[in-house]
Amino acid sequence: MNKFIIGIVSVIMIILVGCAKPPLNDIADAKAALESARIAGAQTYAPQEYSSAKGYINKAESDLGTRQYREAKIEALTGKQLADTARQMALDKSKGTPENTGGQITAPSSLADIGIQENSIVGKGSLGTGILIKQLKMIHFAFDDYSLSNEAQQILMENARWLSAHPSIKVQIEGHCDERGSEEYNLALGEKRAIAARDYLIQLGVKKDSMSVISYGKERPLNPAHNEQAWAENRRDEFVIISR
Amino acid sequence: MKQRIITFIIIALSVFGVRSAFAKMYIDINAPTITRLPIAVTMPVAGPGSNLNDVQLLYTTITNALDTSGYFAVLNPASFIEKKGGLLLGQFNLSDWTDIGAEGLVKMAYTVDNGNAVVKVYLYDVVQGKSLLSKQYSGNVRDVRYIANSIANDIIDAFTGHPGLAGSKIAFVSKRTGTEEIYAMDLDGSNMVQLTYNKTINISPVWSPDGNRLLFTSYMHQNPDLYMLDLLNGVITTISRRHGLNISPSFAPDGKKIAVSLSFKGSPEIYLLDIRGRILKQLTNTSGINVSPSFSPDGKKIAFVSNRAGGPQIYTMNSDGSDVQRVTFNGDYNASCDWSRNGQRIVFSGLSKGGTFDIYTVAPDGSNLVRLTENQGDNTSPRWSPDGYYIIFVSTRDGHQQLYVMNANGGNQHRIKSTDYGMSAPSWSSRINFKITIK
Repeated sequence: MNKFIIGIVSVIMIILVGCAKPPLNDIADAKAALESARIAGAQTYAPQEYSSAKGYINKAESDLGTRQYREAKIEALTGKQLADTARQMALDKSKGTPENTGGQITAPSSLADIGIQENSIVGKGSLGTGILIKQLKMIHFAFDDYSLSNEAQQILMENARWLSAHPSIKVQIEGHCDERGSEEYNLALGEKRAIAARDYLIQLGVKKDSMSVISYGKERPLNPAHNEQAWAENRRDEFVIISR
Repeated sequence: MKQRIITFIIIALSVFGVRSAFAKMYIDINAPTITRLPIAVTMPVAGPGSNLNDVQLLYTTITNALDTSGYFAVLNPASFIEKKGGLLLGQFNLSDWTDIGAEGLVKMAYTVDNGNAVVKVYLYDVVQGKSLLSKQYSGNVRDVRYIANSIANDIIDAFTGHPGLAGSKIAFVSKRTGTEEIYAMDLDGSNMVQLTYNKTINISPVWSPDGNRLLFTSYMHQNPDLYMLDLLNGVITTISRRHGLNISPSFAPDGKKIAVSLSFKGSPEIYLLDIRGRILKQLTNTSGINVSPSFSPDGKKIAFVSNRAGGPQIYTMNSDGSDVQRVTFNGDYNASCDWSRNGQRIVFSGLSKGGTFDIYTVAPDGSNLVRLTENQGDNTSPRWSPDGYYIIFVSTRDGHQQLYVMNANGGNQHRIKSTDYGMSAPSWSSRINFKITIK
């Protein structure tokens, strides 16, 4: 919901940039971000950033009162950036605490509710949110390729069975590449890999709206070595449970 | 995100003499190999009230810039034999300089007047006994570095016929804090400033033509979205947060339009956006991959990377998406293209037969392919300097990813700065005369 509000406000913000009008939307946007940071536990986990963000937003409101719109706008934008940082810091530092995760990560008790044992968890998603479980196996790809091998299709069939048995779970498919070649082309390639898996899972009966895709290109290798074996391990899709 | 405060610097230049009208080309920057011209730079004569640290900074900044340009061999002051000599022709012995192998000579006087630094610069061809430049520079004493950049650029201009690039900046990505953040630094690696602080993934920084703004892709909202950082006020605005990829941005030469790859319709396609992120036109329409647009200097064409024929290759099209032409046919993987500012060459990184990535340039019509790196690790992400005379790129030749600069013909390849952490995705700005600082 917060993301939705921020999205809407961002669009309005873009439209208003450059106009000499009261920056009401920027301030609303900043306040939303601050509230979002507060819910994430920023007062506890990133107190300095949180209070600094709050300070900028207060200053923006006071400048708004004295019609210093340009100053108010910059303060509101700065406040929002600080609030976003505070929120992210809070999320980073409070992983696994359900009330601080913006509803994105499943708490251990709810994991049990949906049939996932604590010892099934094998890792986290690439930006630190979401969980990897051993029941959803990753698949691998050839160099500069996003077609599904027979082996990848077999694994996707198993993943589809598990996902169909757990219909309330939402999964994000992360597409990754090896370190070779262009960053930008690899971002596109990673998305193609994630979409290839998603489309195959849809064919196997998994609901489209229970899946999302994201590409990390070559930015998040599993194996940091610079050799053929590492490259093969890094060309992969991972299946991250982001909510239930 | 921390607050960034930008200080403007004003450099006042007053010419009290100009260099000779007839132009002798001392250094041909388009030659296949460039021999560095031996130049002596004397420590500026310091007038009353001058701070010796400022004098030293002036000297160091100028000599660093001359060395970094790749056109000069700056002579070691320990080799100087001049005992006593004035600043003007006739006040010193030319043979004191030709005897130690110098061809160029820079003499300077530094004084401080009411908080203003005043630098008089005299540039000589000591072989012919000729004055090439005599000029006075002034500005706030705080800004000695910027005055020095202007002096170095004029010295380079006097010898090559084009001004140097001291004062331009390199934006790049580094994981020195653990996650990919964007930084900027000077050409010699000094004055490094961190520009993003969101602790996610920040990639593909690209300068606006005027050097005042940076486009970049960030995962700060858990998706690769496109943002613009205004360096004059430190404000980041959202350009595109469409579903899927919002990547590989490029400014049009007028700075008012942006080409970018977006995948909200399912496949990464190139779109033309206005400066606020509204779609003006979809330029490609395949079901494959289309990324890395780069405008020709007249804005009429765009080079880009597409896998429509299998692996990634370089293509060009008109800036309305019409008349697509394939440029590269050599090898199975050619990507990261950048169109030079003089329009004549496209630089890219390609997978060579030996299994390494190397830097190549090619004419926009696909003719005259030239390989610029060989047997030196993987070489990727090439970008032109704003004047089109240099290429900056990433190389693993010394172990891990670091930034290197070479001349357009592949000569004078050198590392910008040695660091323990990786550096990638460079972009080279035009000369900017403001300081980027963070408080």
